Amino acid sequence: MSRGKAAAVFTLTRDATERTVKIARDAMRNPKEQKDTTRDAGSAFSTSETLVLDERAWEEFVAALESPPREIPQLVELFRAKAPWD
Amino acid sequence: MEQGDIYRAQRFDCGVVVLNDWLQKHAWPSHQGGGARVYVAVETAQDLIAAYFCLSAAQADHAVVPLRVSQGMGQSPIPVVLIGRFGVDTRFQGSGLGRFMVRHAFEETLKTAQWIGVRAVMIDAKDQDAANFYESLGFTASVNNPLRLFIMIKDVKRSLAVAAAP
Repeated sequence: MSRGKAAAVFTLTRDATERTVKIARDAMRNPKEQKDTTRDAGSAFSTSETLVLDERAWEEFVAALESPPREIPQLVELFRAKAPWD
Repeated sequence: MEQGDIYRAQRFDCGVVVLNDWLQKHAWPSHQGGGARVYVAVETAQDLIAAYFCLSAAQADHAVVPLRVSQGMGQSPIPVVLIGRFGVDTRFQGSGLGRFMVRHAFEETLKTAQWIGVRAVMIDAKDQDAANFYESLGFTASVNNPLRLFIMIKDVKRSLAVAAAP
């Protein structure tokens, strides 16, 4: 890479980094946003549910996970249809 | 969901008290707090909520974790999206709106799956009729719990790709 190109890349990278840092710093400066983010993150973690599957259900679920993707005809039809809000 | 939907929710009636009650009392706090995201379809002419569902992060795990470990199966719990609640107002039942709400749930889940790991969508149907409805859209009932259904994200994605193909 030529020195000119390297300098240009460095400038772009530095600019992007500075912009990112500024966004992060501004977010930290905003107490409301910081509070909301913290609350949302805490809430999301505290309310995440665990669906417990027994032996047979677990095996079935894992088998479905490992099988190749398949198209579901009724879903294809639904995706092609026009919704009331389309 | 928007704050104005709180007032619309008071007229919502899907015929299931617990689902009405949740929408009227708990949906907005959950939505605002980030515990669940609530999606509503508003019928603008009458200014009422015609249908709603909520999505939240969940994980599927094995009932007997020590057994899993002892068998050398190292799978971690599997990240899924849970359709927590789903209701269509009685005035709109039979119109096909429910199917499009499920489609919208898939579309939102696919967006989420671009950023975080999601392998499947799961739902606990309230009764066998509801389970039949979800099965008609491609969900699979769990082998020993006909009211717990799942669908793989990869299958939804494949179906969407086929639908979009010319």
